[in-house]
Amino acid sequence: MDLSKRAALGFALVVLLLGGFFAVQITAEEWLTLNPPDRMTPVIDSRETVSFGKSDFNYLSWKYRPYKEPLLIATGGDQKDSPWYLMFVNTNVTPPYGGNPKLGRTGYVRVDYDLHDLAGTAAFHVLALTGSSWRTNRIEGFGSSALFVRGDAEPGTSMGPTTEMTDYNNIQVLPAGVRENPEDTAPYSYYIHFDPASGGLNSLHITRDLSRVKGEIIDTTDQSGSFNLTSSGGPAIDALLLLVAVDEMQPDTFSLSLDMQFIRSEG
Amino acid sequence: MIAVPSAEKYFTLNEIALMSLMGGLVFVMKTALRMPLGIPGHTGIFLVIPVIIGVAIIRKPGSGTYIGLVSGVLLSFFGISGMHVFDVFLYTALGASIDAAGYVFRYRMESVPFGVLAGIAGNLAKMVVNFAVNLAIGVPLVVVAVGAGISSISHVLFGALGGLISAYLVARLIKTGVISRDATGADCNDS
Repeated sequence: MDLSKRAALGFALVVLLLGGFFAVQITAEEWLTLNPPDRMTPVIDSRETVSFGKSDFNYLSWKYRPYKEPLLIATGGDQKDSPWYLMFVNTNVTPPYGGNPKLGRTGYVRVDYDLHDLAGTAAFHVLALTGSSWRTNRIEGFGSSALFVRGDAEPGTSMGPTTEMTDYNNIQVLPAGVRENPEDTAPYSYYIHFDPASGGLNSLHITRDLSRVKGEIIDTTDQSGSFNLTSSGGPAIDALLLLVAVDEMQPDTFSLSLDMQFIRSEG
Repeated sequence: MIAVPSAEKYFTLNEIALMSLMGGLVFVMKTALRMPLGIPGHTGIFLVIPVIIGVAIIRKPGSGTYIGLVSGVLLSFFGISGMHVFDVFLYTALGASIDAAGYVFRYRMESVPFGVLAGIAGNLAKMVVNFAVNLAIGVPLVVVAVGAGISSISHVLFGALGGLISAYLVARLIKTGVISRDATGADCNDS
């Protein structure tokens, strides 16, 4: 067979393949018409319910939380010169996305919390990994958002073993309740790196009112309730952590339950 | 002392060096030329060029597969694209299909139709293996299938453009004497 015939056959094969791929696509579209995605329950949107006790606070920090320079956990009257006990909760749900709906599943994460016997103040912040850099919420200036819950239980006299945070950027962080054990294999951890050359404070928010794009500072005594983790743009989030900090030692009866769920904001 | 029978090497040292460089060039292009187009297969416009040129110069079955394997291994190790370690399958398939196209068209890659077909074959093979990897790692069939038609069009388009550029470059290399060919397309150094 001469080369020109081979070329003609080659182009015919390409056209045939394209037709085949389009047939596959049309079949899939028809199948989706009969089985609309709204009726499906994607695994990635499954909700996460977790409970914690006082021994799950595995970090201790003086006033600050991770960022490229230490960032305050609380301001004003909440800014005590005392240690905060921290834990980083893996939300394990589809992260919030507020960017181009053509490029990602737009939505937010609703968190239902239930605190029992809280002493002092519990602060809730959000941290997210996007690509190679992390982001968090700001609590000072335009676009401040956070949740502060005040409890009236008597403080306890001890907490579980904690690691004191001395660095706030480029650090390995263990999830809530996990501690390093030299005899065990290395536990799963997050490497928190805020790029010094870029921002990271303007796209993640905490709010109860979804119409407030930049979130809000919520100060409450409600021991149970809900709030939302939102994103107002930027690249898609790869991992979402909820930072929970308390400024007092908690009684043995302390507990925190979190029910987290991604909710689509369209459709 | 054990006598080792002397066997003629399939690829010469120069050819291995050239194929490795071409494989490295695919990796460098993929890393350096980042175009945020969001169109499936758009990188095919430049990824097929080193493979086609390498196959056109070496003119031996296996040369494209070797180039694809080198680039796939590099991309897998560095993990710069979304498929990470599975890149080795994608790029080996790209190289192998250009290899096959070169063999079928007697390595006449300087001819525009053959260059274009080689580019399309490479980019389409990469897409098909990409689909297979997605299915293998648990992506639902309907998710993969729902974009197959449009995705194949863009892969064909960008593969063809890459093949077109390659054909032009190979023709220029022949014209300037870097690659020697006679009127029938046979390598003048083959005799």
